[in-house]
Amino acid sequence: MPETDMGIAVHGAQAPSAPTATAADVQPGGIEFHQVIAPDGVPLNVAVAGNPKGRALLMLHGAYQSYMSFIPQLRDATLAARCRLVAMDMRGHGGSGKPWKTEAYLGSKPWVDDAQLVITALALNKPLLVGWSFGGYVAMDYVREYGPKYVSGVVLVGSHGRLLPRLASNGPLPTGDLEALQAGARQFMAAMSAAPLPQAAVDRGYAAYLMMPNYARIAM
Amino acid sequence: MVLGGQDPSVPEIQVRNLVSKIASARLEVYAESGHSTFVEEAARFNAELDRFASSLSQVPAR
Repeated sequence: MPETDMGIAVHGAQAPSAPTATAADVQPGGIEFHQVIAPDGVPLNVAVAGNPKGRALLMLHGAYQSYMSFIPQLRDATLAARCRLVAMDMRGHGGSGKPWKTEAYLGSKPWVDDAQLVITALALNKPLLVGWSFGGYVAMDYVREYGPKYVSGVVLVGSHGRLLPRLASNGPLPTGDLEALQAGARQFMAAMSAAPLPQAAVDRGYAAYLMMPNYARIAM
Repeated sequence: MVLGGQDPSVPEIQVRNLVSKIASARLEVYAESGHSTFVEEAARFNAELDRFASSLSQVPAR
């Protein structure tokens, strides 16, 4: 287990697997990666940076994206000095496992249970949840499922956390047409900002979009 | 809540109305940003996130 200054796990359940990396494996100021295995076998990729003794932040990315959305936070010197920065890839996304059965994505339960597993496995002491877009839904769903006692607060970024009705999604379901998927990824990233994002951010989002298999995209 | 003023995916008027009804909620609107406030205006976002996280440290553990 990595060093856990907070000591106590915030949830009674035993994590089914220990994180695989230790702080000694990484350069100062870098990002270390842990893998936590969900009860249904899905490996979850968790990026950790910052001060192990700082206030824990658990950051939840948006649909079709990854922990890389939060690179501007994970690499921020001030935040890293003061906070323990944790960004998990949600199931089906980024470096996490991609179960091919629809049930693995249905409803809010698999997503909030994954978040709780990461909180437990990394012994995050009352983290501040930061949820962007779909991640904001997961953050609020988490509070609905587990109550507020395990977290210190929620930041909803570009998200109403399902406190308002979801806008109708448009567009056809993706098919096996990978060129269309590439075009979809470019359109998706173009819609992410008012002015064009830095190319590095576009590249990260584009890559994450393409990493998500269509069956997961359709199931969620 | 953090919202981009140019984000068509979250209706600002409804969010303002929502936040006004939750005593402990606060809204920061980034007028020039779209859906990716935390990337588009990362310096502001990170500073506000740091301040918010620090303010929570004052809350005694329940």
